[in-house]
Amino acid sequence: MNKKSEFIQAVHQKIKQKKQQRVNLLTIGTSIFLIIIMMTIHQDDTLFLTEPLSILSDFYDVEVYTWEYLEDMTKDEIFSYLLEDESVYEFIDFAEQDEEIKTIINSINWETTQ
Amino acid sequence: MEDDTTLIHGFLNGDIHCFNELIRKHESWVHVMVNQIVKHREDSEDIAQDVFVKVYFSLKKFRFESEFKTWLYRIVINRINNYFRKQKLLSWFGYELYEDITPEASESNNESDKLFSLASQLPATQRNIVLLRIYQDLPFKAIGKILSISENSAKVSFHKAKQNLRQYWEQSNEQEI
Repeated sequence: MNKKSEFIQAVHQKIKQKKQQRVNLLTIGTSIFLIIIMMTIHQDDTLFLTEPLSILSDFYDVEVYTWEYLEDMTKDEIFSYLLEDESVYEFIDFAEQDEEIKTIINSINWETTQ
Repeated sequence: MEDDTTLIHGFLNGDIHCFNELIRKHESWVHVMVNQIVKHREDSEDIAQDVFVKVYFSLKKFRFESEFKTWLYRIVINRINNYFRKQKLLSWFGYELYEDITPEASESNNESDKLFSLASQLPATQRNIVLLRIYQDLPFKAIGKILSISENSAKVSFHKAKQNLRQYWEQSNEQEI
């Protein structure tokens, strides 16, 4: 092999290396671009807070009891409550068993209520 | 032998043999030109190769407004300038220049070699003009075209380069004494 063809071979070798470098750069560039796009779509938190969120989700199953505190109702409030929230049969049962409700019902002036 | 324009068109149409033919046609003078200013053999070989790599990737931008050889001169000059810029940068970081000087290069210590090394210390434009005028024996008009300057600017820069070279020469002689 003469010197001239060696030179041409060396040039082609360098061209090949440079082409490879360009491909590598393109791949790296595309990867970075895709990562940025993904981060934008997922709005950071889902990418970076996956673990803390999963820990938090464990607490979702815990049952929570809340105490309901009711202030003393007026007679009218009890009556309207019974009318709105109870069925007629339940209302009758209720009224027969509870002396206080009986008293309330008896004290109501039906003519003015209707 | 086919002319440059035909070979360039052939290469642009996908014939790699045309590119190889272009290298064969111009390789010799590119080697000589680079060797004249870059005295390190491996580096000058590397620069000559880089010149044709650049040709390969840039030939599609060649507009046939000038001769191919003029365009090629520009690439050679740019590569040589890049080399000296890199050498300067390395010297700032404490690297020794021309670490592996070949025996032939180190032994030849005549006046011509001394002038070559002094020319490499000139500012880039002046160095380019000296390279093209003295070592390539090109007319100022052609030098102007290659460096994209007017013919008169080339003449003035060459005159300044000669003055600087004379000064460098005297300084180096004084140091030797």
